[in-house]
Order: sequence, then C-alpha cells, then structure tokens
Amino acid sequence: MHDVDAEITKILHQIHNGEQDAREVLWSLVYARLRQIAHYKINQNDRPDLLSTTGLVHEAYLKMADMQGNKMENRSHFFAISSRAMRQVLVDKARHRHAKKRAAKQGAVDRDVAAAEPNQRVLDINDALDELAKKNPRMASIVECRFFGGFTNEQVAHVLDVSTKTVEREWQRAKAYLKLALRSEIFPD
Amino acid sequence: MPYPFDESWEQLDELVGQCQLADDDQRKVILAAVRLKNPQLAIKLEKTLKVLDETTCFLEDPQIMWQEDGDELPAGIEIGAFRVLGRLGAGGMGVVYRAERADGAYHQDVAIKVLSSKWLSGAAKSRFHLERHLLAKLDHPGISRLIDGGDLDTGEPYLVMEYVDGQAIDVYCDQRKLGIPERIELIIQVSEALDHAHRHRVIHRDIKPANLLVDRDGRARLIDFGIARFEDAPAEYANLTKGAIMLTPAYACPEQARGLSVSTASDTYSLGAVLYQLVIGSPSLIVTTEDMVGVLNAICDQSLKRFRTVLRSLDPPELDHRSELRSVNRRQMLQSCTGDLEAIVLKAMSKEPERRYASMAAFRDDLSNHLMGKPVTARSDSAWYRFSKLVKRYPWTTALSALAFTALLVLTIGLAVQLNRVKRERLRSERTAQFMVDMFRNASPEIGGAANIRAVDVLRQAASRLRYELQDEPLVRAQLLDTISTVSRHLRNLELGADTARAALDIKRAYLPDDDPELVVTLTNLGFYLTLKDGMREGSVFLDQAEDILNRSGIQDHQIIDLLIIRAFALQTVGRLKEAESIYLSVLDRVSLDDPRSIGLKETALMNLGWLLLDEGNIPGAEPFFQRALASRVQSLGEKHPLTLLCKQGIVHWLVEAERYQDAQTLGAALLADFDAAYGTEDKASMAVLASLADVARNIGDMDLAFDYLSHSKELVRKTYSESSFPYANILITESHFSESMGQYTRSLELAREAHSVALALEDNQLILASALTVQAQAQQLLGQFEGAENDYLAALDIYAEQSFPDRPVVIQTKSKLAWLWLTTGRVIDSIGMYQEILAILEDRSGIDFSSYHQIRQGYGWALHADGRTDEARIVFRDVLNNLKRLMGEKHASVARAKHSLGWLLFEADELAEAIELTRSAILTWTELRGPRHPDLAWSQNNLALMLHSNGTSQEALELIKTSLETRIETLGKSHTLTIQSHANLFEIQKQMGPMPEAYTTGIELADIYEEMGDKRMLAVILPQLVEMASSLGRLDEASRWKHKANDL
Repeated sequence: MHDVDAEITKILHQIHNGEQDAREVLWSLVYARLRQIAHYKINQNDRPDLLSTTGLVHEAYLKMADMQGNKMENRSHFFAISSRAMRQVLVDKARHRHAKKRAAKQGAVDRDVAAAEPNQRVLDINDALDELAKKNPRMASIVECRFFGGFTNEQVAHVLDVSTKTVEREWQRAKAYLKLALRSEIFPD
Repeated sequence: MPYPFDESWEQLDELVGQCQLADDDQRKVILAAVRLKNPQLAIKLEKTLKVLDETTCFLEDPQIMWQEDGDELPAGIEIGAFRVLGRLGAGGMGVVYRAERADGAYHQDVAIKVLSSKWLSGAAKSRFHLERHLLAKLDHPGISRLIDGGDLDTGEPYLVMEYVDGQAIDVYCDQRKLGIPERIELIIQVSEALDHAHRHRVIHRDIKPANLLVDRDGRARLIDFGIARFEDAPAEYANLTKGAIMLTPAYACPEQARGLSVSTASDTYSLGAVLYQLVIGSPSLIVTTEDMVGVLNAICDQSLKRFRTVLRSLDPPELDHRSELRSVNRRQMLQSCTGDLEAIVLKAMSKEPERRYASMAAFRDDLSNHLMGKPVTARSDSAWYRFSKLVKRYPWTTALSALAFTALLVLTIGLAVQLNRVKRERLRSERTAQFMVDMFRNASPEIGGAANIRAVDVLRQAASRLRYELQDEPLVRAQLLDTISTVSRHLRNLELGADTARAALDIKRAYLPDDDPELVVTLTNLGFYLTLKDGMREGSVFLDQAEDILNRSGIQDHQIIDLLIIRAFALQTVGRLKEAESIYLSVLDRVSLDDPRSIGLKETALMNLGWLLLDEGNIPGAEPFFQRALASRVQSLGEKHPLTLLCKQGIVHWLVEAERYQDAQTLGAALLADFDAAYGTEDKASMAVLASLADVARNIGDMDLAFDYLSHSKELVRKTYSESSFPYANILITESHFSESMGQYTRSLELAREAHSVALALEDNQLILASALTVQAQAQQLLGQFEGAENDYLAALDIYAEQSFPDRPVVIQTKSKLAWLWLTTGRVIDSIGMYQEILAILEDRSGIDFSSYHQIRQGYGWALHADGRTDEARIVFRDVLNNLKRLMGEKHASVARAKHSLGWLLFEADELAEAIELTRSAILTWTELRGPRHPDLAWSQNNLALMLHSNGTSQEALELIKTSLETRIETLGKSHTLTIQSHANLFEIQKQMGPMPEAYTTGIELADIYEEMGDKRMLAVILPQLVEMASSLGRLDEASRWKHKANDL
C-alpha cells in the first residue's frame, strides 16, 4: 500500500504542477491500484473478481478531485480506462506467470493448474485484440470493456456513445473474429 | 497480417454485418453473390458466420467483476425468514452468507448463496435457477439440504441451504483416530448421498475432503455442489463452469484432466481417491512437477502406487504414526491395506471411466461386502475385461471413427501450431496419436469402405501440411508422421505410409540415438512398407533393427509379438507364405494367455494364418485356424463384434473354397444381415459378403440369384467408391466370369476389357491387373481370339512372377487356362508340360480333393488324348467323373462337362452306347442348369448329333445339330471355330440325309464363311463339293462359278 500511496501522491503532485494531463494521471492511478488489488486477489482466489468499483473510484478520482477541485463529468472515462488497465494488469500478470518457473510445493499446484491455462489464453486474446484494434478500434474497445473491464452492454454503449444494439452486434462480430484468430485456421490456397 | 485480420477484413466485416441483420434465406443470397465474385472471401464469410452462430461462453466470462459497494448484504438484514449473520465466502457467481432463522420459531442455521447482480441477465441466472430446481430434488441426510430460495427485492436470486457445522472428513478421522472400518463406513455414507444425487442426474464433480464434512453426530455430509454439473444440462450451462481448469490433482479423474466430459464415474474416481487417502494417509497422486501438463499427464498416466508400496516407503516413525491415527499397530496397518480393499480402491480409480464401478451403488455394495468379509466384485476385474476393452474402448462404426479421427488429427496439429506451445502439447499429442492408432487398429481394411477412403484423404492432407509446419519441433512432427504412417498401414495405403515413415525416420535419426525405443514404430512401419515394395530385401533390415531395439530395451513381450505379426503379414502379402506361416506359428507358441493384450494378437495371428493357408490352397488346413480365431473372438468380444464378424467372413470364404456351398450360403446370408445391422448396407464388409454369396449362387447353379447379389454389390461399390476404383474393377471381373458361365462370351469380353482399363489406371495394384488380364484372355479364348488370349495370359503370369506369387491358386488357375489354350491351338507338347507342372505342384500338397483339381486333371486328359495317349486319357476321365460326382453331386456343371468329355472319348473308341448315354445326361444337366441356349449345351448337342448320326438315328441328329449351330451362332458368332465346326457337321449330315437343295444352301453359307476367314484349305475342300452339287441340281452357271473359284485358288 505504501508504494502505491507514495506513487499516487507523486502523481498528484505532478498534476498539481501541470506536468501531466488528467487522463494520463487517471490511468496511472487506476493501473497502480488495480495491480495492487489484483496481486492480492489473484493470489488468494483464482480471479481478481468482485472488485469494488466505488472503492476504486474513491481512491483515484476523489483524491484527484480533491487536488484539482473538479468533479468527474461522468464515469465513462473511468470505465474505459479501468478496462484498459485491467487488461494491462492481467496481461502483465500472465506474462509474469508464464515466464516464471517457481519451485512449487505440492500445495501450490492447485493454483498453478488453475492459472497456467488462462495465462496463455489471456496472452493470446491480448494479441488478437491488438490486431482487431488496428482494424476497428471501437470493436476492440467493446471487447476490452466487456471482457477485461467486466461492464455491461449498457455501460459500454454509454462510454462509446452508441446504441446498446450496436454494441451487442459489434460484440458478437468481434467475438467471432477473435475466436477465428485464436483458432488460427489455415485457409486452403 | 494473420487471418482473420488480413487485407480483406473490412470487406468481410461489412458482409458479416449485413448477414447479422439478415435471415437465413437472405444470407444464402448474400453468400451466393459473394461466391460468384470472390470465392475465397465467400469461404471466409461462411466460416465467420458459422462461428458467429455458435453459442459458446467464449469471452462471456469477464476477467473482472465489479461489485458495487452495498452489493454485499450487511449483517442483520433479513432474507425471507432468515437473518444474515455474516459472510461465509464468495464463489464465482455470488456470495455465501451464514444466517439463522429470524422469526425465532426455532433455531436453524443456514447458508445463503446470493447470485451477484452482475449475473442478473443471461445464462448464469438460468443456470442458477436450474441449480435451484435440481438441488431442490435432492433430499438426503448426507447432502446439505436446500431449504428455500427466492429473489431479493433487488432481483438477485438466492438459495438457502442447510448449514453444516462439521470438520473435513480427513481431519475428523485423524483427530478421532478412527480405524479403517470406521473410515470406510463414512465413505459408504458419502457414496449413498452421491448415489442419491446421481439418481437425480446431478454430478458433484468436486469431491474432496474439504467438501465432505462430518457433523457433530458423526454423519458425513456432502456440501458445495458449486461446480456440480447436471447430466442433462444444455451445453452452455456446462461451459459456464469450464472457463478455467479448476481441479485438485489428488482427486481429479483423468477425464477431467483431459477436459473431456465427466460422468457419474468421475465422482466414483474422486471418492475412491478420498478413500485411498483415508486408508493409508497419503494422497493417491503425489505431484512432483510444477508444470500443468506434467500434472495433467500424471493424473492420466501415472499408475496408482499400491498401498504396500507407499507404506513400506515410509520412515518407520511415520508408519507408526499413521498406524496410531488408525488405532492399529504397524503390522495390522500393513495387513488391512491389501487385498480386497486395495482392489476396490483401484477399481474405483481406474483410469478409464468404464472400468470403474458401474454406479455408486455398486461401489457402496463392494465396500459393504468388504466390511462383512464377503467377496468383492473388484477382484473379478477379469482378464476378459482387460482385453475386451482394447477393442471396445471406442465407439465402433468406422464412419464415426474416421470422423473422430479427422477431428482429432486436425485438433492435434492445430493445437500445436496455433497455441505455439508445442513443447507442452507434445505429451498430449502423443496420447492423441495413440488414441487414433488404437482406433484404426480395429478398423480392419475389410470394413468401412467409404469412411476409410475419406480418412485416407484426410491423412494425405495432414501429411502434406506436416511438410511445412512444425519445423521447429521436429520430434512432434516425426511423431505425427508416425501416426499417419501407422494409420495408413491399417488402411492399406502403402505409398502414403512409406513416405511418411521415411520422413519420420530421417527426423528421428537426426535427433535421437540409434537405439532409442522411439525409433521402433518408425522402423516397423518403414520395414513393412519396403517389404511390400521390394519383397523383403530392404524392408527386413528395418524390421530387424526394430526387433533388436525391442529386445535390448526389455520392452514387453506383446510389443515384440505385435512386430512379428506385422513382419509375417508383410511376408504374407508378398507371397512368401512359408516364412510368414512359420512366424505366425511361433507367435502362437509365444503368446501367453496370462497377458490379456496378447489375446487380440493371438486372434490376429490365427486369422491371418487361416487366410494364408487358403492362399496356399491348403483348404482343410485353414479351417481349424479360422475356427479357433472365431471361438476366441466370440468369447472375448461377443457374437456381433465387428472383429468376430470378420472371422465369420473368413469362414464363409473358406466354405466357398471348400465347395461347401450350402453351408456358405446359410452362414453368408446370416453374416450379411449382421453386417448390415452393424454398419448399414453400404459398407465394404457387406460388399465382400455379397460377392461371396454371388459366387456361392453361381456354384450351386442359381445364376439369377448370383446376378442379383452381384448387381446389388456393384451398385454399392459404384456408390461408395467410384467407377475407377479397385473394388469396381473386382466387381467387373466377377461379372465377366458370370457372363462367361452364362455363355455370354462377348459380354464377358466387354466387361473384362472394362476391368482391364480400370485396373491399368490403378497403378499401384498389379494383382488386380493380372486378374483382369486373365479374365480378358479367357473371354478371348472362348471367342476364338487365341493370339490375344495367349498374350494376356502370359502378361498376367509375368505380373504374378514379378510379385513373387508362386503357386497360389490364382496362378495355378491362370497356368491351367494357358495350358488349355495351347492345347486348343495345337501346341500339345507345351500343354502337356504345363499341365504336368501344375499337377505336380498340387499333388505335392495335402488336401487337393477339390473340383478345381479334378477339372485341371480333365484338361490334362484332353492333352493326353491330343497326344494320342487316348487310353490314359480315358482312365483319367473316368476317375475325374467319379470324383466330381462324389464331390458335387449329379447336378453340377463340372459333372456335365466330365460326362461330355468322357462321352466323346468313348465315341472315338466306338463305345457308342455309353457315349450316347453320357452325352444325353450331360445335355439334360446343361439344360437344367444353364437353359436352352448355352455354348456348353450346344457343344454336347453337337457331339450327340455326330454320335446319333453314326448310329443311324439321323433325324434326331439333324435337329440337334441345327439347334447346336443356332446357339453357337447366337453366342459365339458365325466365324467362331466351334460354330464353323457345327456348320460343317450340319453340312455333312444334310449331304448324307438330303434333301440336296438344303445341303447345297448350307454348303454355300459355309463356303462364304471360309472365304471370309481366308481359310483356303477348307475352301479347297468344299468348292469341288459345291460344283458337284450344283451340277447335279442342274444349276450349271453356279457350278461353273464354283469351279472358276476353285481354279483361282
């Protein structure tokens, strides 16, 4: 906690001095905090689920608001950014686990079994999502918000300022492309 | 850019978007339009749409779930009749609270599970409701009960469960120092609870000590159906719990580790694992690797350590400690841990689900039996099962196996490539490969026509993919190549098999030591294929190497036997029958019936030996082997198992060869029904039986039935294969034979030519070409086209010689036909030599008392006759006739032919009465068997006419010779030697009997034919006669014209 607190304080200080813009700051804050939460959660459970939204908002935004005296316009930015951050956290985590070989005690096997497979999967999805983003950034955002961010169609529609139906259709298409990409089928020439 | 994010993505996405809004019909229109303009894009579109329409949980399980503050219910809040005391824990789908009855009516502790609001829509909620619905059905003292359920005001559904205040079963047992019988009692309680759940089609899936609590009353209670799966739940529910592999290695069963579908048997395994641990104090599986694949492999492959092995490996203090926890001493501990109890645990924990107890109840019964000292069923896990599983393991229709195989192969290669983690997949793909090989080992080439062909295509594709894929993982590549090669062996695709084996060997030689056991498969395959190709020169070197490695590495006996059988089969296929035979016999000696794996091998050896002896022409010798194989398979696999049916097919074939046609017909018809029932009527096996039945029908003279079977078979072959396939060529050959039997020689030749051209295109099969040439030669011979016939016979014999097929029945037949041809074309000495050669070979064998042998002797008799050794010939003929009558009964074509032959010799020897009697009898039989218009009948009629004529019975003679001539013209054509002969005979008889004008007309016809044929010799004979007849009839100008013609000669 101390590290993050120190980091947040540093960032807030920088903002105060006009060195960084709010969006970047927000990113840094959310990322740092998520990473920390994820670290505990992933190691305790199998998945960093059941995070508290308000808790995170409080920590990041309200501190910022305090500093800058601004209220958040809406929570859209938060959704988008926390999704991105969560993606980053999970990808980092997966890379880390993927690369790291620990001498496992018997008791640790449980977790390894649970984690090894999803790690590779997260990395694969991440790569495919990068490809999708090059083709259609909005579609990639939808995936990011739904899969990594855990938001609903309605919330995503709000963030992206499109209809829920559009989100749903593009979500379906995006899933199809990602699935194909993950299968990496080879077409007959 | 990788697919699908390639340069056509924008176009593709545009179209997919359109299709999303379109109905099925509109989609078809869109697809059709795209297909016209851009077929490549259409394929992609179609694929994408397919994926789009799939309902799966892909990405539907968010990596993070937000819980709004306030989601968590504060202590004190009331849900239904209960007051929340606090949080017990959180699971994937919601939070579990501890609560108590709020109305104070009575005290009741409960656990309340509330579905998170995130899940309020969609599948999770449905599943939650389903779970509530199904759990409500479970009412058992051993299962924490569902008390209530409902929806919160905010919409979240919840379940109220009985709260179990207890200890995990292992902790409980050790703390109270329960003895082993008490521990078993607790497991029996759990098994009863699980039995109850299973009866309601609920599988727990996560049986482990932590989920088996023992309450204060000492009762075992099953909690947490959290990842329970409902047997009949739709697939999407199943997937909900599949996102991550969550299992506890010590208790997870192999099918869970493999990610295959689980069943009630999975719970049996896990409960067995808990029992294992309760009994000896160590978990069944001790994982020493951190690597996921290693763990999964351990679950799947590592065999269970026997109780004694574990206990003996403990330090004495530890052993004493464990004994003490079970309130026994060291010796008692060791004693109570063997025998029945161990057998029960091992059976419950069998790697294959179907080897475990058939139900929880059966498991419980065995445990009770054990406690009461009764015999347990686990001990009777008999050898029977162990070898029958070898062939029963997989769903058994070949079409299915080919499909499953296709899917697996694509999966194996696909997985490895796609996930770019081939190293980790290597072990897994090895297993997959073994699976495929096992599957195809059972798919005998006799069965599964079309399916096998499709499989070959898939294999070929896979092999060509392997040429450029997996370059950085040579051993995986080699292993997949091995698999393709082995499967090709079972599918008899030699070229593909040889190529892949060679490629695999090149790789393995580069990466492995020379005596690595991994080389055995490759060497065996390559040896097999090269043997077939070169007749054992190069091939045996590889087979020797494989055997050498096996011998040195101390690998089990059955593998060596397997290798020996492959070697013998290769030898058998190339016609080196004696060597193959002695290997098979040694295999039979060597097979130990204690080893269940050997029983299948023994059966294979017996069957192959049966076929081998048939090939050798040792018909009586073949029977016992077929019968033994059959008896064994009936016992091990049952009456209707495909391999048993194949055995019966061998026996039908044997019955045909042994000329026991009635038996063959009976068994064949029953077999056909069995095959049809097992595989549907469009299977290769059915075709083979149909062909045998057709042959039987022909032999018993029912040509209608024979053609019926044949046309049925032909239709199947045409549909299942094609008109340019090996089986089709075979059918054409058979049909040509049949037409020949019917006297339709022209048709026979047409069919033979068609077969010949099909066979020519089948480059890799020389034997079918030889068969086609033989039948073509025979038709030509019968039609009098001797030169072509001789060329074809010789060409066929060349092929047989090249293929080193000495002395097989088919070769003997061809040679005897050639000998007959030589005889009819005047090469008497050559003919006699050939006949003597053949007969010497046959007489060298045991069991030659068959009609085919006697028929060849008859040909030899004719050759003797032509050589002027008529007395010898007559003795042979009489003997042949007697034998054939004995073997075939009076009403048989071969008997008619023998009578006809002997009749003629007797006629020449002036024993007219007997000659006439025999020939009349032959005519009767021919008429009955072949109808009124058959060349063989015409021949006998021709002969009888001459006999009667010389006997003075000229009127009948005249009618007979006329009928004979008509038939011959019809069936053989005007210019056939035999037709001309009848024609000449008619002329002679008419000349002597008159009236003169008719004789004169016949004479003119005959002269025309001679002229057409350019037969100047016969023209020179007949023209003077015509001059004379014309003169005496007063037709002087005609007489002078004949005279003029004669002078021109």
